[in-house]
Amino acid sequence: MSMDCRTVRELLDASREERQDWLSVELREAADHVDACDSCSEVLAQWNLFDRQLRSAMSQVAVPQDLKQRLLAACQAESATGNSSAASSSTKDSSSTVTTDNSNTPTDAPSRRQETGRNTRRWMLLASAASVLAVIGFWFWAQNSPTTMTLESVSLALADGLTSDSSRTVPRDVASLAPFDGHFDAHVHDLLWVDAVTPEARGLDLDGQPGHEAAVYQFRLQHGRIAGMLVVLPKGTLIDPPQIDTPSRTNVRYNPMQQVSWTRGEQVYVCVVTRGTIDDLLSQMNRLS
Amino acid sequence: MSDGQHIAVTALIEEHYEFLYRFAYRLSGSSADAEDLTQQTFLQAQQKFDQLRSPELARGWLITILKNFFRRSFRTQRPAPFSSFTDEIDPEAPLEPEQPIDSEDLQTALNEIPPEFREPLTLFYLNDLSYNQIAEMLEIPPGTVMSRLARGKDYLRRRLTRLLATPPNGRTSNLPHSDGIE
Repeated sequence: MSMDCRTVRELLDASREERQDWLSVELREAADHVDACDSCSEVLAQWNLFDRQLRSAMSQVAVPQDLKQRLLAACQAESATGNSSAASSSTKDSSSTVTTDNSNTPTDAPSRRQETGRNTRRWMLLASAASVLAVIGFWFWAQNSPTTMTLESVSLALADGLTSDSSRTVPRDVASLAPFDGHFDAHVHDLLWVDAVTPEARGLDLDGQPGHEAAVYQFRLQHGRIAGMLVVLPKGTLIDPPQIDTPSRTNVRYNPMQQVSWTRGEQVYVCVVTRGTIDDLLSQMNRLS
Repeated sequence: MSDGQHIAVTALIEEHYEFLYRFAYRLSGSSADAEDLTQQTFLQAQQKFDQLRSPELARGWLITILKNFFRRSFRTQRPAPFSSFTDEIDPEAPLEPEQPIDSEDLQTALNEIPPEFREPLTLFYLNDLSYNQIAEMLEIPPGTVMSRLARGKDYLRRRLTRLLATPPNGRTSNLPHSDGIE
């Protein structure tokens, strides 16, 4: 039996609800393991029961009794506002016509009304200008505010972006990525890596928003015996940046890409190894430092 | 809005409001936020009603709208630190499967999970969706859904087992507002 208990449990736990073709060989092997392993079959039975209980508990949320009525009323009000704004603007037009045409009023009355009208128009103009400025300000803020992600999300997004197959095992050709858009300072400041990386950075979008969150370099160490991709991100992008200076493994389940990450200064480095092993890389980094 | 559209939006509310409220509650952990999210979702759905191509797709469409509002409103919410969330599970850890899971305990545990994990977990257990459907609604790859679900389940198992073992008066609940839970 080549699979260990932990691998079998993880695999079956993940795929219990969904038999995916790309896992079928492993699933068969895992199922054989469970048949022969009392401990695994007991744990998986417990997990199944837990799943059923969780499903039941998840829906135990009391819905407020009058919620439906309030939702219906809100939608109706919203719909009516759309109609009434047109109606109110037409009402305003007709009232102004009446005011202008009313020649029986005292002589100072029209000028007061005109003054009031001017003030109203001035305030409306100021309010509109303030709204436009607020919208522009918000847009700039939204454009420039950094996306924050967890190291987990970054790791998974890198696995998706840097491979070309659904099982995330075939590394993508870095040259096929778009040139880095210069969104942040992506120069490799880590002296150990300056000579190991290609001069040109390519860019990767991690959050689905416009702009690159990561700069990707190809690297080679020990005459190409260890190779892969070095990814640079601004430290502010991560809610939980990795340890300072000390490279550590970024273990994410179902992510077959071997990664180590560390923080240096204001940059976070994630190194994806495609040739050689993480142990080779870590020992080489220890030797160089 | 035409009468026909008004009737269709009313039907949409009647059919989906309970599910959406529960989904919103499990995501936000607060009944006030859940109401806001549900209302924003239906108002947006009413405005963009033309975009709904078929009534069978309504639930997925509404979930995507709600998820977007949630992400926008709760972008600044700080999740549990990565390290605490990634503690390895002890595969031999005993569970208490005979004891039912308390709804408030579940919410306490969900509140401790980063939103990106809470979303697939909630959809998976609340709506019985497949990985591919969840991936489509959350706009992430199926492999990522799988990974997040497995990690989230691990965390819930450990956390809920610990909560079950703790007497109610010794618990530190961080439920923001739980009066909406039975």
